Amino acid sequence: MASRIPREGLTRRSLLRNAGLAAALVPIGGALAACGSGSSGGSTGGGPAGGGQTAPMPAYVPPNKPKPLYEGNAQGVMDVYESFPMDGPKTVTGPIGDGGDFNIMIMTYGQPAPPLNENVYWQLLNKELNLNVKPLQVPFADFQTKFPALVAGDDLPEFVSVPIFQNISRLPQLAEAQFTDLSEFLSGDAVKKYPNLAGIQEAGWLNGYLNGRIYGVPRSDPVFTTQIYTKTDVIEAAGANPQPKNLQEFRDLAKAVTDPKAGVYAFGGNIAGFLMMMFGVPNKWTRKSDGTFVSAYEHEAFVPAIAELAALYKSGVFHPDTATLIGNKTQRDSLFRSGKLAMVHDGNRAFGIVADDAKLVFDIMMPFGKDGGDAVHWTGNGAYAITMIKKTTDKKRIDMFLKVLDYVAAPFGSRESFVINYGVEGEDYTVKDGVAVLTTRGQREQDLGLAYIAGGPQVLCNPQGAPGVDKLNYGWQQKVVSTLLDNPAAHLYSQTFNTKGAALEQQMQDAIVAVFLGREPASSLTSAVQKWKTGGGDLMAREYAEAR
Amino acid sequence: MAVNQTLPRVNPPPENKLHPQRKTPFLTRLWRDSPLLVMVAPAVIILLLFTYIPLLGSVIAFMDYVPFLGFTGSEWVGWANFSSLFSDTAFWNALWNTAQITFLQIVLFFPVPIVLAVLLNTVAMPLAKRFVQSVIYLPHFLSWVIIVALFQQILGGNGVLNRFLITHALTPFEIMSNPDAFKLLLTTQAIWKDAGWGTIIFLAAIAAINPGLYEAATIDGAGAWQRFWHVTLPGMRPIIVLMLILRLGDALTVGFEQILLQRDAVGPGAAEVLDTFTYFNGVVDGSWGTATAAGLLKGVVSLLLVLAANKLAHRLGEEGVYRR
Repeated sequence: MASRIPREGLTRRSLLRNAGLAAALVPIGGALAACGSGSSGGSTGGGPAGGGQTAPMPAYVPPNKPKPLYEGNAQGVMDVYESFPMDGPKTVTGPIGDGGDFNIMIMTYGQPAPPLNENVYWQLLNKELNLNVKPLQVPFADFQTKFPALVAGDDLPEFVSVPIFQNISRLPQLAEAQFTDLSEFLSGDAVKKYPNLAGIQEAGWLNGYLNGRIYGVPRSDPVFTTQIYTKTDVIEAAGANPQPKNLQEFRDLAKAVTDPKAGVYAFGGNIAGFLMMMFGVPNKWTRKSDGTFVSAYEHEAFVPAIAELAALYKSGVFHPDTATLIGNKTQRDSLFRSGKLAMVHDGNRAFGIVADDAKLVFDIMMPFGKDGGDAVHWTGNGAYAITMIKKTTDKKRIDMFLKVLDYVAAPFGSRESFVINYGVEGEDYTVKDGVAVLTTRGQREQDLGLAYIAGGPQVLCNPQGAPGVDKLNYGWQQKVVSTLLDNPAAHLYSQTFNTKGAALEQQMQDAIVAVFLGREPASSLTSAVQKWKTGGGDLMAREYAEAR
Repeated sequence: MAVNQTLPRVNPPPENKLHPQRKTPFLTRLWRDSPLLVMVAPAVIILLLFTYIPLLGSVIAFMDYVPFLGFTGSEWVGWANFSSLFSDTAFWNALWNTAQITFLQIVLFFPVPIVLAVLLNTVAMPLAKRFVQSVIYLPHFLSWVIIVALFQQILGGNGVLNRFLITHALTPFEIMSNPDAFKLLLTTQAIWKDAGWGTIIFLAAIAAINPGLYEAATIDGAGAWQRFWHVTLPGMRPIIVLMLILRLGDALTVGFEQILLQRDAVGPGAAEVLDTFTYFNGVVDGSWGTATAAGLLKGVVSLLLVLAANKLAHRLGEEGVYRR
């Protein structure tokens, strides 16, 4: 259902479907000794930040995992499973909650979940956790205004889950002022008390470090960021090649599928990221050999990539409502589903959504360089969200909070993970040929969002999707994994990014969109980048070099 | 003109009744006016709670305000927010856009309800008049989301008009996403939505004109146009001036929701106004201090506009917002 689909990626279920990838994801940002040497939280375009990691990294104990159909790897390719084991082992023992209220803020996509008395999935979770879960659901579209309002009004509930990609300004200061430092409960071997949290890898934990201390428990994210999904029937009808090998073939594909009279267009949103990766633009920053940082906006390929985007727009392959569709993922997705858009550029995390629908036959475009050869593929922050608890000294309360997260973070294959992902048999899922398949009711009830709040690495397991969808993604990941490019500033602390980063990034995005839609010439980007640099970009570069 | 001279007498100045005699003791006046005071109390309380008390929050404009540190924990920065505001080209862009939209709305929008009211007043059939009134009032009750969606469905890149043009191999019109036409589009939408509603007060003003004046004018041989020019318009004039001054007071508030909904379609270059600038800087980006400084500045400019307009009205012999 389009309405549930999150933007640039969130996923509803495959996000939720975590499991033990035996080896660690690539530590984003590198240089992180497990025992807290120099660098720590914070990233540009993404992560929270903290200066000087003073709490040791939580120990990593790889969870047991069932044998996958296709094995993932240490670089981030995900394991593929045909079905979700229904008789998995218990990973959580002993009581969790105290029967009291569990007030938690969660960002959600689409409609609010059905109310408790009609929601058997929610009732089941309440029973499993021995709690009365009361989610404060903040819709994705409202998050940017609702969250600051909750903070300003001092109305945050006891537990708060914040998506990393929302770039909350001054998060480290907010954490220090209002949330509990969890370091003593999670750092080093202490985390072993919560075995499923010990199954979360460093790449995820790095996002939980704020001011060098552990404030948040992460929900891990795949290492891949965005890609182009192609709608097979539309492309076949146009007789086009869904897998172009260079820019010219890409242009040809876009032109071939566009049919204004039928209202069919190649794209409806911003594909700047895809073109920038195709043109070889670095992942936000480059660290030069002398240790200085240079922004990707200053890279020689940045302006040409956006100029190409503008040229594509001018050639008429974009939907006439692109200007408004850029900010409206829900509508873009429904146009894709109805065959009015031949392609969508979306997050890897969005895969679970397209893979949900057995009737939706799609392919994923293999990245390619402008003149053939390889593109680069930017990696993400390593986590989707972190979950925190308001300041308290009540150790029992903190322990209960961590036990709940331990339950939610149970790895793929465990009993708890099955409960979280499938709910009640006969209502939320049905069993066909030994494979559990979610019902529409099950999908709706999971809009509760509780499964977003913690977790280790995920796996590919979409038995309800079109046949072969997971294998398709697996093949894509295998190809792309060798071209992964990290952001060298990820998890480094910059005070300027912390306070002004989101606003500066917005300025650049506005400048890019202005060129994209032909409101400004490509040459205007040069002055936009200059403004970005003097407005704080230069300071960020200096701060990252120092933080390193 | 004889008609003109009779006007002041027909519309007697209400001061003798409303204004208290200077000599009456305070307590007596209080007792005499108590029903009125009770009636006005809820409005005053609302005004105090939601307008005057929040005004105290304007100190944020002089602080590097961080909500979770509060007023006491946030750093006092003096005029720094204002200087960073003035050095920000985005602010000047927002100010310039606001000024342009304000000007357009006052020139194009403000006269429309007056004209409509006068035209409506000439409709003789009560049923037809009431029907037209209902039709033009209706859009006022639609929210901006619906109105913008309606415009998008009709005039948008993929709307009814452009789909028709595209399927007939004609060049489509770029209306909804054309930055150059954006300010006119906004004004058009505003007129469609609220011009009808705005007629109410002017219709009331027309109704308050003594019919005797028209009769006298007709006897004196005045035609329809002369009656309008010498009776209707002078009769409406105090209300028109009052409405114009009040309008100037929030002239810089040019439609936050309406613009926010359409800002992405044309980009901030054409669509950023002071209100959206404040919103994005403050609420979204967390620069509460700079955003409040921008808001405060807007308030000061609005106040100056009202005072200047009122002064001008007094100069021209009108009553303005209050009597001198």
